[in-house]
Amino acid sequence: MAAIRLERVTKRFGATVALDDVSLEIEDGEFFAVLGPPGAGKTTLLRTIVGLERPDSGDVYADGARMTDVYPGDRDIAIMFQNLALYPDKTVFNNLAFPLRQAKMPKAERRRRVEETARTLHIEQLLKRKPAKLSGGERQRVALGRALVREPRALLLDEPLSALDALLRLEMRAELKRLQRDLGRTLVYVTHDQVEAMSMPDRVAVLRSGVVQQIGTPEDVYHRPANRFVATVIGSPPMNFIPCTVGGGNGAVRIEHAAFVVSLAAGFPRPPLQSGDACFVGVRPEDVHVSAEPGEIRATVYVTEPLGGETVVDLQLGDRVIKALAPPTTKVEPDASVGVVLDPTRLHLFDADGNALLSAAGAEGFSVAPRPA
Amino acid sequence: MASIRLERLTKDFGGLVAVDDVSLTIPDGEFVALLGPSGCGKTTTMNMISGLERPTSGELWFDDRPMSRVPVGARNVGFVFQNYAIFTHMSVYDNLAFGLRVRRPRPPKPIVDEKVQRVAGVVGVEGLLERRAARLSVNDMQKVALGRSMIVEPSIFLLDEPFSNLDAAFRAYMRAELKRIQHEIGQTMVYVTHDQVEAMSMADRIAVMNLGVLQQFGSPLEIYERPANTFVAGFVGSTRINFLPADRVPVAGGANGVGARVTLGIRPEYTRIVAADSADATITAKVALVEPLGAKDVVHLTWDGHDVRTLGTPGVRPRVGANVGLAFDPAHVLFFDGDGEAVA
Amino acid sequence: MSTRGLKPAGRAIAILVIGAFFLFPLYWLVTMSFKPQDEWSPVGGKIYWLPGKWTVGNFTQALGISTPNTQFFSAAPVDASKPIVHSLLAAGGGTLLALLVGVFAAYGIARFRAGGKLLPFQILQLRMFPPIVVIIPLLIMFTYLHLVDTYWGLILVYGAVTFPFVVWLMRSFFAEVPREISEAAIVDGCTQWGAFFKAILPQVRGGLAATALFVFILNWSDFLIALVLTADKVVTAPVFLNSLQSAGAGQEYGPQAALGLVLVLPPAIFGLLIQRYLVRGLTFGAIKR
Repeated sequence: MAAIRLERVTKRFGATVALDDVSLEIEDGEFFAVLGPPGAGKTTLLRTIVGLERPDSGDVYADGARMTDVYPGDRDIAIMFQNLALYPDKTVFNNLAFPLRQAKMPKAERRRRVEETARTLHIEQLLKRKPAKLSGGERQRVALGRALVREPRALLLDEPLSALDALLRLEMRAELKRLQRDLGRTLVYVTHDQVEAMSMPDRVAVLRSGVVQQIGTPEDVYHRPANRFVATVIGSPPMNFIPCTVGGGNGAVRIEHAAFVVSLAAGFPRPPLQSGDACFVGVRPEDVHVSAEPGEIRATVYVTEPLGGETVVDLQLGDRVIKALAPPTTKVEPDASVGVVLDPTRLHLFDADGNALLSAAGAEGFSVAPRPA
Repeated sequence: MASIRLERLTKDFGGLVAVDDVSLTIPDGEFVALLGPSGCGKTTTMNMISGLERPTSGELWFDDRPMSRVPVGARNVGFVFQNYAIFTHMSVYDNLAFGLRVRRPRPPKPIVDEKVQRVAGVVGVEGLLERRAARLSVNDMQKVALGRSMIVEPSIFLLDEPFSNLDAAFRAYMRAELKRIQHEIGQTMVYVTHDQVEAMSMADRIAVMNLGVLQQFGSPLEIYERPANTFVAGFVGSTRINFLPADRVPVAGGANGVGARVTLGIRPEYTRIVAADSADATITAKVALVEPLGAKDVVHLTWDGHDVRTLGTPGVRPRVGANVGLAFDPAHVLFFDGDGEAVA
Repeated sequence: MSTRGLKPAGRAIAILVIGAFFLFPLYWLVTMSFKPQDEWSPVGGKIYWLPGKWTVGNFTQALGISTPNTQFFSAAPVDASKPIVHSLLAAGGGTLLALLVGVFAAYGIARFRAGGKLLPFQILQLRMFPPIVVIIPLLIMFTYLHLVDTYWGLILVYGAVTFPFVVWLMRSFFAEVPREISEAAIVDGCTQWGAFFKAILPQVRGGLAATALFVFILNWSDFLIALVLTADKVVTAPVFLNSLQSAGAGQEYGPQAALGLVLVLPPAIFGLLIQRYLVRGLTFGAIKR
């Protein structure tokens, strides 16, 4: 039974459609992320699940029961807001105890739960303080604690790490993942940061303007993106898209570019493309290699960006600039002519509208041949 | 074109020392990044270079002219800010031409036109010249803002986190573009940011600051491979460097824990997972967590109570809970003393 | 009034002069209230800038406390103890009424946009004309309702007249509280009412205190409404003080001054009691997230 299920949920605010026919299922105990740019509808999605917003159409289910008309406090779902919304006038202890008080839990039991939660989050020494006297990271933990203390059936987090500085964010990421695994709670995590969406969840849903683009494991979404938007939003630096045209006849499909040709092996599925159609070849920077060998695809170096652990080489290929990831010791000068290798086992093919047609995802199916100038 | 020299520049806001005795020289035509966390003094330093703040003590030179008494308008600096101040009711063309047209005497129309076309080409808005600025995408607005400050050909460009409001994909694109533009026009640029990726990818040299004090001023390679102290080492690098007690780590050829060698630093990419009983293993540890990041995996190990990070070999994902060995590349091991300063 | 154009010395003189001008009545009031009867008027050309003999007789008389040392005799001794009580009841009651209705109205407007765009403005309009404009119709209505010269009548009018201030001030305080706080309380299991009392109200304690004090002062110092709507059963302090402008008691400068000073006390005490909430309240509206 799914812990949380959304069935064809639509929500409008005036003329704007915040959620458009959204359906998804979150399994019990799953760490589920929702990734999207600002304005995608992520916060509306969370608020609809917890009950602070009511869908205009469609339903919300929790453990099989229809929750659409149930009051937020009765759904047994906890939410941690982006701005934390701690009760400023109450001590940390009372912030944590508040939901238990509302549930009319006896005092001794309340105390036990609060102390246990505080220990799990390493904030036991802060129980007597008020939120104003806490650091950003400490406040984060208190907000998390307030949601956890109820032992809810699901925990919703709205961009919990976006206000933290880079170092703290790295720490909290690992800690959240550990926590979820140890406690086994269903977690729905909303973010615009693709690194968080890749490294933490079991599955991720990519949202754009209220429409679900793709749902899958981080690997699925990374190696087999459903469209250009998903391919761009995940992965840094983002995927390169090289415009090409479909050529060839005799049943053989050739993808043609001024500098190279991509052909499909016999066993590979035929994409629904016709000769003359425009299409895009997608390839991630880590799958573009700069080589010194002759006989490879020729390109000129546009600029190099040394990042320390690796170097990004921007290459002018025809009228486009594509990015390649190279080892940190790479030394090439702008305007130098170099060879480029596109890893055929990692290519993607998109149609003119941006929908994904084929992703190699490690399989041998594409082959790339340079075209003499 | 101008070189910039800061000599013992200090700014004291009545008790809060935002910039503390900073000295550095930026040669003509160089792209320098001021990098540091919020509150480190980078914006205040830039404000002193621009003239928006007067230094409490110290001096500032453009070429050989002392500048601290010169008002902002007379310094010939171009600004690009976070909130791209463009005129939304004007067309892109008029926005770009604005800086030229307010000059007295007014330059003749053909000259203005030629310059606008050239700048539009450089920043990539040639097709949008007739459009009203309000109807541009956020990304194009930033390009226009860049163009507006470029067209008056200032001797120095100052950029204050101009890309922080833009989406990640566009930021990656603009990094390459800006670097290329700077390379072509050869203007001295000072770029303020808290994002080490931006600083590393674009700058010729980086000034790392913390709490008002200059920590290190060097090329990206120097900052990365030979950090001056633990702050710089920890701040730069997409996956955070590992700091371990030097006397507990047996690194071949090194005398650890001896003398000033208190802390050992090694970057995750210079470590490698090997079999627990392998001769190459510097330490053995237990796998705690694997973070898949797409192009690579970050593997967290627990050793002696510390979280040690390494990069996973693609395709080989270690099991959580497994005991593995970790090999350190001795050529990239760093040592720091009790105060966090780098030692040999 | 700005002293910007003057040099520091000139500025100091200007401030002294202007300050003296404004503070003189207060100074005279304070000194007069402590002067014995023979020092009230400049008999024989001598003006007593400070009391020659400090005495509290004025106070005891004004408050109706008779002591063996009572110095003054007149046909109508000044005794303000009852009027002070009447004022406390009327002003206090009116303040409570205004707060009761106004706080909930303000929350409804701030959080739920109750009344759309019009209602807040309509409420504010209630204060755009001086009460004197409606005081006669009000008197007529009250006569029919037998509310003239009663506590309830005054309380109702005071409440109604200061209610717009409460809404105006409290609305901005409520608007400053992030809506997520009430939402967090709801998700934690509160009803809307529970969320209001347990999560929101504690945040606006300062604002509430400042508003209560402001409204109380308005009601306490009201003269016109009380004058018209009361006769002899309910006599508030300002009305009482005015009635002393007669040939007999009107000469009792000392007790009148003492009374004036005493009347300042309740708002001052109130202010002292709530002052620790006031500090926060005074920065209302300054920070918008």
